[in-house]
Parts: sequence; structure tokens; C-alpha cells
Amino acid sequence: MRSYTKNTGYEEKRNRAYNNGKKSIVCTIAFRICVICLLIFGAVALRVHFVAKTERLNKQIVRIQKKIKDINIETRNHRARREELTAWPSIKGKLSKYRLGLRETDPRQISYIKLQSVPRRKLYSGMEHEPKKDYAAIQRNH
Amino acid sequence: MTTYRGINNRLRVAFILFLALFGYLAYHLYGVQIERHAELHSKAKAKYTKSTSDEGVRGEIFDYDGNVLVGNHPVGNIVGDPSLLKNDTKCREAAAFIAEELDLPYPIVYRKLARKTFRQKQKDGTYKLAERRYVVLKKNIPFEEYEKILKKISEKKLKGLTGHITLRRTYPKNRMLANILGYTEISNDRLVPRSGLEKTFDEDIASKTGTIVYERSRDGTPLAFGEISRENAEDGYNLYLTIREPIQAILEEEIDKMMAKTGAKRGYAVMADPYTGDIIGVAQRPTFNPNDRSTMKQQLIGNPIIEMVFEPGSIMKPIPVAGALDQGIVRPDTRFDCEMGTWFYAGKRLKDSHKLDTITVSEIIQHSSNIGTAKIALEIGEPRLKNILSSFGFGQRTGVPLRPESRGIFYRYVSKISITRIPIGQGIAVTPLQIVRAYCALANGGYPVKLRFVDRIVHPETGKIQKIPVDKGTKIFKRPETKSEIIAMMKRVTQPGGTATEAAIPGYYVAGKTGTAEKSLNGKAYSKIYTASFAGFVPADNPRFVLLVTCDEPSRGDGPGFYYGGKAAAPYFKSIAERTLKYMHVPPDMTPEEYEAMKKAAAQKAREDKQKLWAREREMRNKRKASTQQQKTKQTTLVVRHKNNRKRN
Repeated sequence: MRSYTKNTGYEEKRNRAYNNGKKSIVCTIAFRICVICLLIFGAVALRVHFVAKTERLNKQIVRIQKKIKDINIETRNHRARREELTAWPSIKGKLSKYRLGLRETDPRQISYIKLQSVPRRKLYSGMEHEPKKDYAAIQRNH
Repeated sequence: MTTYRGINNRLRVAFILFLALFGYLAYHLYGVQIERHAELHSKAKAKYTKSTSDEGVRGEIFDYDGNVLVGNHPVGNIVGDPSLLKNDTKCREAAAFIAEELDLPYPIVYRKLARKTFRQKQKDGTYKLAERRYVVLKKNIPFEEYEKILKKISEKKLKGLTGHITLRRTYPKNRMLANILGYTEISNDRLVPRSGLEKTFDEDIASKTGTIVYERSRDGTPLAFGEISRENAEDGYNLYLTIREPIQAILEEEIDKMMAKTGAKRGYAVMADPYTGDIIGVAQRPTFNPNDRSTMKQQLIGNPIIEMVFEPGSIMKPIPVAGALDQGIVRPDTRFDCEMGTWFYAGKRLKDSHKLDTITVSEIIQHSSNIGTAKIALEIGEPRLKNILSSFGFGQRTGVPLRPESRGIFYRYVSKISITRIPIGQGIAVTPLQIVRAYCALANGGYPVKLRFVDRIVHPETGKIQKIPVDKGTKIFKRPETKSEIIAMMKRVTQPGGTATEAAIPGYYVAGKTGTAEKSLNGKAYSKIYTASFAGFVPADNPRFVLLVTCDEPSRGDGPGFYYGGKAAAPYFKSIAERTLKYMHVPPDMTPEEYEAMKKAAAQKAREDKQKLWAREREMRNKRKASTQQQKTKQTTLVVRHKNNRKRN
């Protein structure tokens, strides 16, 4: 009987290596997919996070803008009121209503002073005489 | 036991089912994304895209120092949403609340809130019933009141009631400067300027409406990256006038006093800086309150200071006299015979209000002699007189930014006597602003400065300033002495012996001229109604302002000459000028003691002049008497001789 021996070592080895290789490829692919998914998830999560943050800030901006607008309106209202109250007819009305005494000024109440070595004002329009608007206290005349 | 074949079949079925499902989905997706894309896209766009328009704020008008003359005042509007008030009880509750708070009749409010639908016109012209979601319950509620009502609405948790704020054009100083500022009206939801500076500067002060188109979230807030298009709203530029509010208040108050005292039909006061041409204050009566539309009548909203013309009368006299002085035709001491008050020229009589003998040019101005001025004009000659007057700006518009402006009537109807009438302010019609410009030239040494109402235009956000330049014009006077000479003459008008002693201000030299012009009826006959004016400047030698006060048709006053410029207008010139000088802290020209001494000396001189005049009158009367007596004796001797001759015969 012819007998021969078959060396299965190599085949086994090859099969094992093949099986091992197949496994590792799957693992690698799975790992890569996982990483990609993770990256995608991370990116999407980050984007969602940023969008949410932006929206939150956006709402805050809208709120603050409204507040500014309200304050502006209130300021306008106060300013209009101030202008009404500081107008001469209103002041005059208050003077007569509360009988506040206002004395007419008398030129005799004023004492005039003379300027000494005052720098000349630059003429504005170049006309012959400009109104002298500046006078300061240096030496009393009387 | 399930065989591999069974599993395979099931897998196949599932695969086919999934495939069919995917096929259906793909078909549906095709339908949605490609076939109905336009329709669905526009629907989605309409739902999530919002377009809001933002009205910019109309520019405000300020005085020189930044006091608001025309502003934008926030007011509230209470609105209802009937679609939210489906329950009748709630509708009644809301109506009762609003009626009570806003003082409105309950049935009207209820009717407004109860109407849930309205007929809406479609593009194809048909009508369909639409839900009513906006109904205005009350407009223009004062801001504080509006805030209170809104607070109460939120406390009571009333649905379907809300409010919004709008800016309303307001004039915080009411009647002050109303004619110059003008007013606006709302027409088709747009603010339309109707008169005054509001109209002239509308291009600058009008705001630009902005539109933002954006995608919105469910609660209506704009999405962060959802902006589709944006056109920003722009606020209008702010105008800064040359007017000083405190001085304007003085003018308004004094003009009111003048109107009450003289019973005049109209009154104006214009104050200007002679060096820059700045109009410091303008008061015109009658006027209106732009905040109260019931006071606004067509005849009140114009600007008589530029639209209406009047015969200036004697306030015209310093101008031809200044021209004659400048051209060396006369000197202040040149004497003219004033013909004792009556003079005939070209067959027409010219009269003076007082009898005057031979007097100097200075006295002609002091006593306001028509005959003297007419004789000076004859010395000047017609063409030169016309040139002098037009160089002072008569017959030309002043160029202030107000419309319509009149040129006046200048050498339109010329006759032989025009040369004697125009220099005394007859046969010529001017606007009050033309007079102010001419007096500015007299005060500043001969520069016909351009009058300005607006000093600067300011950008509301950047604060960038656009300054309106000062235009002093070409100098009229060739002789440097002309200014001091004409001022010296005009000073005498307010000193004892002059026609306007009531315009004198203690401590200051006032240069001015009175004017009393009889108004013509239908442009023909004179009618015994007058325009009384006083124009002048203070302090005379270094003027801070030129002021014209005109009292048109005064009907009552103290004494018989109540309609004279020296009586009807000069006292108000004095009070306005005095108060303004105090406000401007202008130091007096002299101490009270010096002023009293100057007044006494002037009064003494006036007395002496009068005595001289009376003496001359007496002398003339005596001469006349003597000559008549001589004639009589001559006649009697002739008669006696004649009788004797007869007897002899």
C-alpha cells in the first residue's frame, strides 16, 4: 500500500493566517468606520452645539436690541419733556404760578473791568469790526 | 426546522420589499424635490421668510446751541387682534377695559373688537372673507399713559390687546418759530412736509426706509444665518439753525406785547448778526401752533417776512444817504433847505411831518425829513440812486432757504416823481428781510452779507458736520469813513430831538431809523392805515445785532401819533434789544452817569435847534407880516392917490 504523508502544517498555517488577516481587515474597516462615524458625529454635534450657541446669542442680541430701542424711546420721551419744560413760556408760566420774584437787572449793579495785553482774536469774516466777545477780569476800572 | 432555502426566500422578499419601498420613496422624493419643487419651495419660503421694513428717524431741527425745535416724540397706539377674542365674554371684557382706560365709547370699541372678518380684495378682483387680526383702538397716546395701560393689560392677562410705539413729529416749543420751521402731515402713511424749513430741507432730513428679508424661527426671531437681504434704514440729517432759542423767546414775548398794545393786524421782528448774516430770531404774528391742527389756517402758515412786501417808509432813508456820502455827493454837514415842511416837485406836493428850515444831512436823518432826503436823491441822480439801492439788495431775493420769496417791487412803475419818492420809502415795496440785509450792510461797513437760517447739517450717527458757509458779499462802501458817518447820523435818531427817543437804551448808543408808511388801498389811493417800523443796530459802533420791528396797521395806542414808527415799534425795539444785550453780556458803551450827561447834552442841543427854528419861523413870519403890511400901505397910498386925483379932476 502506497502510503504518503501530507504535511498539513503549511496549509493550516496559511488558513490561520488567511483567517487572521480577514478578521483584522474587518476589524480595521469597522474601526475606520467607527472613527469616521465618530468624527461625523463629533462634527455634527459640534455644529449643532455652535448653531445652538449662535441662536442663543442671536436671541440675546434681539433682546438687547429691543432693550436699546426701548431705552432710546424713553430717552426721546424724556428729552421732549425736558424741551417742553425748559421753553421760556413754560418757565414764565411757572414764575407767575408760584409767584417767584425775578428782579430786572440794573446796569448799576455791574462793574466793568479792563483787559490788559489780550491776544487779538482772529477775525472770522475779515470785516472791519467784529463783535468783541471776550473780556476778562484783570483790573477794576471803578 | 427552517432550511437555508427558506431563509434565502425570506431575505429575497424582504429585499424586494425594501427595494419597492425605496423605489416608492425615490419616486415620492422626485415628486417633492423636482416636480413640485417650485410650489413647495415658495410655500416654505413664505412660511419661514419674513420681511420687515424699518423706518429711519426723520432728522430733527435744533437751534444754534442744540435746543430741540422740531423733534420726534414717542407716542403709543393701542391695537386689538379680534381673531384672538373668539369668546364673546372676553371680547366684552377687553372692550370694557379699553373704553374705561382710554375714555372711549364702549359700543364703538366693542364693535371694533367683535368684527372678526373683513372682505379682502384678491388679485383677480374678487373678494373673500379674511380673518381680521389688526384693529387700531386709539392712536397717539402720550408715552407715560401708554406704558401704564400696557402694564395693566399684562397684569390682567387680557388677550387680543397689544400696542406699539411710533414716533410723532412734535414741536416742543409750540408756537415759537412755527412759520419758519413749517409743519408735516401724514399722507398715505408717509410723512409729507408742507411748509417752512421742513419742506426746503426735506431731502436732507427725510429718513430712508430699510428692508430686511430673513428666515425666522418658530417664535419669530431671525435665524443666525438666515438673512437673505438687507437694506439698512437711514436716519435723516439733523439741522442746526442760526436761531438762538432764548433770544427767540424774547422776540416772541415782546411781539405779543406789541400786538396786544397796538391792536395791529400783523407784526414782525427780525434779528440778525450783521457780520455773519445769521438770523438770530424771527417772530411773526399772527402765527399758529403746529401741535394743534385746529389753529392752522391757510393764511397763517406762510412767512410774511419773505412773502409779503410793504412800503418801508422812512426806514429806507439811511440807504440813499449812505450812498450819497460814499460817493462824495454830500457830507454830514452839507445843508439842504427843507422848505418849512412843504415842497413842490414836478407839480406834486411833498410834505414833512414837522416844519424844518435849512438843516444838515445829519439832521435830515435825525428829523426824518422827506424833503431833505428827496433833495439829496436829486443830487445823486436817478441811475446812481438805482445802483445804490440795488447794491444794498433791493429788487433781489435774499436767498434764504424758504419758499416762495418775493423780490419786492423795485423800479417797476417809474414816473417823474419817483426820484423823490423811492428814497423816502414810497413807490417801492420790500420784504422785511431785504430791509434787515440792507441794515446789516450799514452796520458792518458795507458788506451785503447773505442771510442764513441754517448754520450746519449734521449726520445723526457719525456726527459729520456740513457747515453752510458765510457769504459776506462784495463791499459796497468805497470810503472807509462812510460807515462811521452814517452811524453817527443814525445814532441821533434815538437821542433827544430824534424821532425815536423811545428806542434809546440806557448805557448804549443805538443807531436806527423810524418808518411810518401810509398803506395804499388797492395800489392806488392812500388809506390812513399805516405800517410803523423801526430798524436799527446796537451797540451802534460795534453792533452785535440788527433788529427790525414792524407793526402793521396799528389801531390803538397812547396819544394822537400812536401809529408812528417811533411810538408803535420803537418801544418794542428797545425792550427786545435791551433784554438781548443783557442776555449776550454786552458791556455798555458808557456808564449811567455818562449816559445821563450825554442825554442832557443832546436834549440841550435839541432845545437850541428848536429855539433857532422857532426864531427863524418868527423872523419869517415877521418878514411875511412886514411885506404884507408894506403891500397894504402901498395899496392904501395908491387908493388915496387915486381918490385925490379924482377930486382934483
